[in-house]
Amino acid sequence: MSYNIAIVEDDPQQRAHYADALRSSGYQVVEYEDREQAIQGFAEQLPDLAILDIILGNEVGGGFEVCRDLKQREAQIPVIFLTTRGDELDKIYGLQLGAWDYQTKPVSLEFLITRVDSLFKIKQGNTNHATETRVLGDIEINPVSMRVSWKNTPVELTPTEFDILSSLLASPEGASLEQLVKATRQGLVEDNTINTHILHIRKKLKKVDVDFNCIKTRYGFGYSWVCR
Amino acid sequence: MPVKKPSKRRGMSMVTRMLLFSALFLLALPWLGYRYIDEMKDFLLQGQEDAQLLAARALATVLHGRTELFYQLDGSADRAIVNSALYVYPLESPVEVDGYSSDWGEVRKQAKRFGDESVVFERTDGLSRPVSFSLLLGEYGKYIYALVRVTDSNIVYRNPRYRRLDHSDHVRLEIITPEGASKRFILITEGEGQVSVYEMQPDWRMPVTGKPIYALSGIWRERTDGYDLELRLPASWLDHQPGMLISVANVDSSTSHQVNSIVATLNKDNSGKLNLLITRSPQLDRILQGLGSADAGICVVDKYRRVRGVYGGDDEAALCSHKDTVSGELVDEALEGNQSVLRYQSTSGESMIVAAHPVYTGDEVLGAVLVEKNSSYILGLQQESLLQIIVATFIVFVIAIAGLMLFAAWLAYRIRKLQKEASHAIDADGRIVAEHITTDQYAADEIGQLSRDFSSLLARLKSYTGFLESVPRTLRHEILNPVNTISMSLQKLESSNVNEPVLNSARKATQQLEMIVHGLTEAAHIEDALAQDEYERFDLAAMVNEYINNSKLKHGETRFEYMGPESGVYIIGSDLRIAQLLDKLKDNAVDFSDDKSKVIFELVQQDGEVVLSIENNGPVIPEEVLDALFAGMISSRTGKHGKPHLGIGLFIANRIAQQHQGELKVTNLDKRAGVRVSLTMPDAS
Repeated sequence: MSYNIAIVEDDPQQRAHYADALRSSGYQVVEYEDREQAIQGFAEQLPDLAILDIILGNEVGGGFEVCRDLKQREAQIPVIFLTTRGDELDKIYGLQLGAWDYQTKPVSLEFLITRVDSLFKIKQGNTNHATETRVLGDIEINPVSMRVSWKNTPVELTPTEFDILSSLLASPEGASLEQLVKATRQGLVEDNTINTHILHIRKKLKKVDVDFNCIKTRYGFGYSWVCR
Repeated sequence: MPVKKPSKRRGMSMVTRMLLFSALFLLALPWLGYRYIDEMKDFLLQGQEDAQLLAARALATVLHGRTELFYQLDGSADRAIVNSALYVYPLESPVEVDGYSSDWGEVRKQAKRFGDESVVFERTDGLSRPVSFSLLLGEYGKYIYALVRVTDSNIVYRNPRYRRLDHSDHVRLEIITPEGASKRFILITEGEGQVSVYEMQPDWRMPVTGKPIYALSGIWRERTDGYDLELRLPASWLDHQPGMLISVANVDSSTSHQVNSIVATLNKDNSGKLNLLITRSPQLDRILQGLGSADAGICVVDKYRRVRGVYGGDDEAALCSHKDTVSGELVDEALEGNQSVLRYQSTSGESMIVAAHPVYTGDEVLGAVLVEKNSSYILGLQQESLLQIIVATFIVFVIAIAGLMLFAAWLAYRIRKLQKEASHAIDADGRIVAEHITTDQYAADEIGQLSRDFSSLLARLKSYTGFLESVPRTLRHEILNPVNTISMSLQKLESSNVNEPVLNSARKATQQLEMIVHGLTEAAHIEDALAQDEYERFDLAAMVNEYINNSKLKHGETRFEYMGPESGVYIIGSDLRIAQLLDKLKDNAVDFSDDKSKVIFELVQQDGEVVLSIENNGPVIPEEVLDALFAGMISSRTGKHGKPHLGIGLFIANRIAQQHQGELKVTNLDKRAGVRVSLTMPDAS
């Protein structure tokens, strides 16, 4: 079965690039130019995954509107936002739009495909998790299903957050900011964007365990996982 | 460039100016009041003068042609007789005949003196100078009183051994009987006390009968320089012919018993004549009683200026009472037939107005009427009014000033409030922090208008600022989209066989483009990002320590040094932001320091503040741009790695410092080439 992906992007050239890349990876792609078109199209046919540009034409938050509409129809549909800046992350968080991930422009097509692949993999959920699961102290992490649990309680992380956490856990000496930026496998990511991600990871873990304190800031360097 | 606060200019405040201005006008009030009262006084005095003249004229009309009231002298009467007339003062109370003058009252001063010019007899071989005496005549009821004060150093009393009565000091009195004969009385004594009175023969040597006369009585009293003789005689003796002659005979030796000299009230040239007696006319006094009013003095004088009738006491008729004649221009004028008015100051200091009007009989002036009135009450009134005006003005002044003060204070308060709000609407960095001005926004007056104008100004400024702020965002969006396209195109090219170096340089160029755009937008978004930070207390020393240790690993070519405590210096803030700030400062220091040079971090606590400074020995910064360094987009130096250097780092660092109530300062090092950036923040240890 071939997945159906909706791309909402106002720039025709960029849209064509994404569509080409996805099609050549075997996905079906529906392209929308703006919010109205997209919402109209969703009414006829719901995609399996949506890639949304945040700024659509003159509508600065057009992508968010489209996402909201989509989630109302089907909450489980994964969404990948295309942003020009990391600081829009907070906005995406703040809107509480449900399961999502993001890609900063300029987009690495290669990674976009990988990310789409993994999102579908998670969605399928038919992989044998147990064999893949790695345990490090209280944390359990499954790189295939991208699921994480702390003291046996599942923690919902976005794919990007998952990548950062994986990188942290994989570096006993601590991960530098550069390493973490690389882990997000995105174009140009600022230190501050990583800081924001770490903040969110900490918050999410603290939600299930108030005493969580395993990620240590190493000023001038990066972060390290200290609960080994 | 950093915007300077509007400088405060010293000068008079609005309130002071307003008060001064209005005080000038208010001060004119008492002056106007004074002018008004002064005019009023003149008007009142003028009215008073007119009223008095009118009264004087009325009185003169009543007295018109009443010659009998003025006691006309015979037409033949010579000048000397007229001039030597004796004035009999009306007494206010009966005088006790006791030889003491104290009960004569005010008229005592009017005593008439007779001396050398009145000597009628003087012995040529005289042993001593002739005596002199003063005479005072008064009238009360049915009696006429006389007080004779003789100056005589040697008093010779009567020796009863002698029958002749001219052997001792004595006083002679001569009148004329109704039959026209002369009657002579001698007043003589053997010592102090009651004198003996005898009717004398014309030669003044022997008495006519030797029987004492009791109707005429007197008391003799000695003084150190002479004697006083007070005597009383019935007024009826003079009814038919008001004439009298008093003479004092002086005997100096008790052995020779000769009269040495005689001084009389009429001089030698008029021997055989009597002094004319001038008495007040009772009829005239009665008329004046009927016509007079309580507060005015009336005085009637005859054409010889002699006072014929007086109404009122010392205070009212100050000019005439207790006087025999009245002189002065006013009386002269009246006696010449002209009415006139005079204002003068009485001896007791009262302001008086006197009006004079002539009294006629036919064409001839008979005398004059003087109407006197104390005008002090007008002046008193004036002073009272002045006082009232002053008090009223003062009250008005106080109320007006208080009102103005309140009004001015209210205005000043509003203006100050508006000014405060307006100056706080835009912060030190020129950001608009208030949507609009609330002070007096609904007030209908100019301040309200100013407030609304300011609000609309703010709104326009805000929309403009909003536009400016949106520029980086728009720019980013507009640039990154084509960059994205290029980037993806490049990715596609990778799969085909293209010249790798060309691809690489294209990739590098897009990356640089991205960095520039990110740099630009980072500054634009720092405000929003800072506002979301969560603050906590953390150990700055430990953090800096760790930061430097990590930096040493990262930048192998640069030496880092740290001077300061290992831990225990606390501040309140966001550790990640401070790390970001350190990144900016460190990057700057590393960028600009010479190879193999040192970057020195120093942390000190002083006066409740934490000072973290970072020194490098790179090129110095020109003094003129030091202040402007934090404004952004300014970089006075070129980085050594050829990286784009927009100077945004310092702008962001400065914003972070400000957000932490701190201050960032850049100074050039004095001794060696280098720059020191110091961050000062409140100590929370």
